[in-house]
Amino acid sequence: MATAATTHSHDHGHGHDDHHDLGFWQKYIFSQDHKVIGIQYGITGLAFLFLGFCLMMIMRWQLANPGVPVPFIGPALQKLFPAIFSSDPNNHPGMLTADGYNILGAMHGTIMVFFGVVPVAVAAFGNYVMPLQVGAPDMAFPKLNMASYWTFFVSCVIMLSSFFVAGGPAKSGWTSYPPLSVISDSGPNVHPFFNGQTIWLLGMVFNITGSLLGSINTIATCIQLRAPGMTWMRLPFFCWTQLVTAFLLLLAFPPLEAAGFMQLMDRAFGTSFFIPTGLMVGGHLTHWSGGGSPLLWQHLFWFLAHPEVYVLILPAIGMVGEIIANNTRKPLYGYKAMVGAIFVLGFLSFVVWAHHMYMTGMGAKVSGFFQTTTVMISIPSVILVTALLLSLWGGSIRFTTPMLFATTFLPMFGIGGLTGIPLAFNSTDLYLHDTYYVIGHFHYVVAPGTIFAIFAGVYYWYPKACGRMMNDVLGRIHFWFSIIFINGIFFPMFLQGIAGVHRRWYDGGLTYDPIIKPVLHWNNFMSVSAFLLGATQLIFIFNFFYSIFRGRRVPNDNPWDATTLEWDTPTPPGHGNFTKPITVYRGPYEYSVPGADKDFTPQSEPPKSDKPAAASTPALAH
Amino acid sequence: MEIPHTVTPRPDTGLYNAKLAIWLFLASEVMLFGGLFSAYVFLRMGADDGYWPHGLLDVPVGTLNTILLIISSVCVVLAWASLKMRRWRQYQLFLGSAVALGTVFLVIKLSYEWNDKFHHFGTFIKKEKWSQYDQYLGNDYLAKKGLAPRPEITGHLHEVEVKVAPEKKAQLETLIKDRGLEISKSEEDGKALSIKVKGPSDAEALRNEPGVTIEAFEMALDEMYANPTDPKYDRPGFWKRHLSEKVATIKAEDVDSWSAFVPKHSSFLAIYYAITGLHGLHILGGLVMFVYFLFFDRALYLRNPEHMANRIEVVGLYWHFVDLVWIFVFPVFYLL
Amino acid sequence: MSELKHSESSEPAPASEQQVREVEKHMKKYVLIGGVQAIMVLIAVTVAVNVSASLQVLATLIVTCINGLVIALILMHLKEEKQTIWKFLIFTAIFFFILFFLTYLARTDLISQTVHNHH
Repeated sequence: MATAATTHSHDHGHGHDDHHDLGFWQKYIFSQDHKVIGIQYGITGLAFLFLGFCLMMIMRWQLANPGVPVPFIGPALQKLFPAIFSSDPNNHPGMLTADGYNILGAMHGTIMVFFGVVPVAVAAFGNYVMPLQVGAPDMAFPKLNMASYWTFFVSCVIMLSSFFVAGGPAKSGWTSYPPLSVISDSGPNVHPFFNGQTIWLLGMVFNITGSLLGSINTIATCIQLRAPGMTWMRLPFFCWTQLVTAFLLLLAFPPLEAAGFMQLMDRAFGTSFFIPTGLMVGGHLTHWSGGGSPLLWQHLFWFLAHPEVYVLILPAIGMVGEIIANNTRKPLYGYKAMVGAIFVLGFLSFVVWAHHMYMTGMGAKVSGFFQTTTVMISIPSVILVTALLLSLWGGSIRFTTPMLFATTFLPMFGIGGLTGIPLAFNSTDLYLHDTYYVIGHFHYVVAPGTIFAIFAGVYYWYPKACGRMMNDVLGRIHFWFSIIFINGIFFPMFLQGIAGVHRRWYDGGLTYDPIIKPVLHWNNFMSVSAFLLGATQLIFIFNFFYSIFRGRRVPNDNPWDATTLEWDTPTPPGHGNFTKPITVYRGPYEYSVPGADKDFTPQSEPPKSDKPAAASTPALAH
Repeated sequence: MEIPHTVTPRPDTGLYNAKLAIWLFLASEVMLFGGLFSAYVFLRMGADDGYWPHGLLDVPVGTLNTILLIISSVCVVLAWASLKMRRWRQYQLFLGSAVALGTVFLVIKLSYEWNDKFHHFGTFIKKEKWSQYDQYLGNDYLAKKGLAPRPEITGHLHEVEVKVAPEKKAQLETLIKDRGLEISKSEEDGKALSIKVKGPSDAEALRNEPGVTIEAFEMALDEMYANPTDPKYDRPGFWKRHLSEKVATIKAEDVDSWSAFVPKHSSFLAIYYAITGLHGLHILGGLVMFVYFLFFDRALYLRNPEHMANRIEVVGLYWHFVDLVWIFVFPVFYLL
Repeated sequence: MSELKHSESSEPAPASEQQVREVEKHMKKYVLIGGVQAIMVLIAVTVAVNVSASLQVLATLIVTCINGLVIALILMHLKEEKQTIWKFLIFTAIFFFILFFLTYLARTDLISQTVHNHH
């Protein structure tokens, strides 16, 4: 049915004309350029990572010193956030209340996952690097890209505003389980609509919408805008991870959006989607019609939230892959197996969600299904880590700062993954569910895992974006202190968890003192590590901004001697990215090719005329 | 700077960018409505016997709406075909018809269907009191026939009996005056005050009024409750529930929950409003896009008619999807 | 190319005779399909009203699915699209069914039954 009447023009994209000068607002604020948008996501995301970290530091103060007001800033905090802090029995302000601890816990989780890691790892790096790596002039839909950032920005504003409403922000966990989440933030002292939980839901709806628009863009760009010669098997590994991540976001987020609407309706219109019949609150029968199910929320929530954790890890693995290939001066081992593993991982991630729900009274068939799929999903994860590890074998390893972070990712992610195994079986999960063991497990994957990969990515691609290198000495100090302190925070969590310390006790376990006494002292150790880790990040923040102005200038467009296309652009890349038409002649990791004159051959370098290239001609081969 | 493949398809995929994007978007929409449909399945399977209402929706009206949407879908694809043939007037005619049909769909849904429900009233009787109200519920007869019981009495609310604390009496009188209500029976020695209401929203106002307790409801019954043992009511009716002449008084202490047919009435209505509401918003979004392409995009047609045709194709795909969702919503909610 | 920019206000070139005939053939097909769908909706209603309660769900859903496939394949041109879209949509369909099956299972397979089975 494609009876195309003749078009009289060539492909005129609706990208704006670069003949006229864009004003300040269109160039830096409402930009449609993927690089500017990537940086916008990056700055916003890093700011939220910092905020989430601060929330955590307050929580850790409480855990180490229950009932003691926060020092120095305590009074100010209480003035600003009366719902979170109150005065202790001796009238010293700045003590974290029980509700306040729940608030910080819920917001720390929400902010880190949806406003920190995903915007930085997926949106910032994806937007900046991926179009460059496929050889495209920009993303497929620049206007849509701009819309998705600003939708995300609106969600940030909404989420932050919840700190300043009566009753404070959401306090029912980042998981927002009903009935608690439906009845919380209601009553005489709280506004019927402008309250923490409702605002949380609204913020999530906008966040999800921005995410969906962005993932459509990513997939379309990856499929449609690859440069001539960029066949699927020549795609850099990072692009593969971004592609699969985008699919996970596209398909997994909508059920949570649906569930978010339903919880909003429960709160605003009194429906009973998640309220069971005969619910009693505070000893009184509530007036809801009932007939709903709290389990329904859990299913819909975890249907997203499990693929979400793979969204958190896949771009990280992608970045680590790029950096390892570059710093070992050899191709990635098992590239094809890794690509296959990512697809299998992506698919399986949709059918494991109820392993977060083993304690909800499910029967043997259901739990058997989920235990099986959960154990199966460890296989592609192991393939990925093993292939990356094997990529180090026989390489000429340069321990640049990005490489330090990238190689450390491997054992850290390994610990995170291995500690997940007892959680996969409902027999052992029976004991470990909702303990600090779980917190240790997932933080190992995300904190010394993904966040280290993000650091690696920042150090690695910073020269391309800024034209200057970040300070190497400061980078190494940042690395060594971070790795020590981060393990100091999270390793003892396994010990506490196995002893039975629950994950949401606001007093650090004091109430259960006799039972968990042997492990209680770790709270102090972990909190001190957390503060020292925070102090270490100041080095990174300083380095980041200082190097923009005083960093060592890059010697050329390709300071790392890398092979992928993003290094083929001017530094920083201009509008349209490439100064000449790009054609791809070879795979992404042609390092140390026998007989070549350099130890790396860029993807876009034409083959020498006397050596007929094995690569196919620059037609659009599939 | 041009983005490749905005209009001309890329040879190895056979797609232009926007077409891939809309299919991706539609996939996410499948998951969105799928999430809501799975909620429907979950809620319906978990409902106690008799607590999932049937026959609350007007099937003939729903059928009409379905057919309107089908015709509008055909109009959109004909509009696209007209653009391919470069017939602008014809394109405008077809797209305009689609807009008109879509608007009629929304008007019927909101001003007739939903509006009618907001004025309908229902009380869920407590299980232990069913025998007292058996003349309306007919549960003994249903049990003998092996059919699910009826837990609810529905109809149109006429009067509400309230008891009010003496210090709040003045406030209540202000409320009655503000809402234009009538008092039919005054309080005499501890007996309750009887207020004629215009609709269930007045009862809600009374419920929320401090110091006022509702004692009883007087309502005109739907015909099924006037004659509950009539075999024609064994299977749910597909026509609008008509009111009978019979009036019943139901004591508030015998009632579990009561409300108009609004979202909070039952899980069925909650999921019904959620899905049809979200679907309605999607229709509205589509109509906005159509109006833009009808009146504000002629410049693109003159500059690059193929690009314009692609846009209509893409928006047409979205519209077909919205129609497709309704094709599933209609039988699931109206017929099953 | 610049001459075309100046003559922006003129109508685009009309489609050729042969193209018009092709498109018109398809237009007739669409109207027919629309009629078929309307009939199917009526069939669905009739079926639902008259069939026994146990068959109701299955029969209605079958008619609905056929209706849906007609829209998707013909009106949305799915049967003419290339493999890329097909593969991807089939993937989505699989997820969809897994979701529903697990929903059903979550409601029917409860721990009380597991405990009961072992006695």
